[in-house]
Amino acid sequence: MIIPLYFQFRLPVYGRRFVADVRIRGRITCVEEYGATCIYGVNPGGLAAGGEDMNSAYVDFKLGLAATLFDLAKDADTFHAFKEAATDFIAATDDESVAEWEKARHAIRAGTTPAEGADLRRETEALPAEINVERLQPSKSSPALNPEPKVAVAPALEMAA
Amino acid sequence: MDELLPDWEMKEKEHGIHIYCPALRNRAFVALPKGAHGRTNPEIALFHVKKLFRFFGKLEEAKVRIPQL
Repeated sequence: MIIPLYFQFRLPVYGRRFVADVRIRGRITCVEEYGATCIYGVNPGGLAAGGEDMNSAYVDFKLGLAATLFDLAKDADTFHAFKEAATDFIAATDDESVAEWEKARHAIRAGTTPAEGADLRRETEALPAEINVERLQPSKSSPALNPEPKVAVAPALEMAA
Repeated sequence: MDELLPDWEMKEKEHGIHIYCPALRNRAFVALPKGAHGRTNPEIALFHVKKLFRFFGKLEEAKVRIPQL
């Protein structure tokens, strides 16, 4: 069973003389194979992760996403260079991953894939992948920018339906 | 891996490895992050291999070769 998911991710990223507030809404698929729960990026397409279950696989995915953004920040000489690289990374995908995600979503909408087991909120809107990268100014720093601490996967994941 | 992706270009980063395939994509890459448990090298799991081939458009080849890894 392939589960099509939306995820939300927010992270401050430190670079050379800049701090960026990175907010991402992306798409992933979750599937059991190779004896593990695997997560494949659709946006970003260049990332995969795995774990014992969906929770641990998603934690692995988030760690990988953060690590990639940190490496992009290290490579970037300016905020704009980082923003461009991060945006490219999130936008990059491949036709097969997109097709698999759309097919899985169609199966859930058609009822041929059971959606009850995943215990996730169902998002019926077709949401485009988005990345917002804003430069944080110290004068605009606020505790309100801190993301809500979340341990469970479900609050950050939504099943596409 | 060289045999599987002859055009690949590997760049080792602080937190992992970025694999580019310049012949197929310009800026896009697949990231192989370091493991979450302090391993110094990225863990090349089968799902990473599948993603590599799918992303670079060689999934059919991957289906044939993955079991041999």
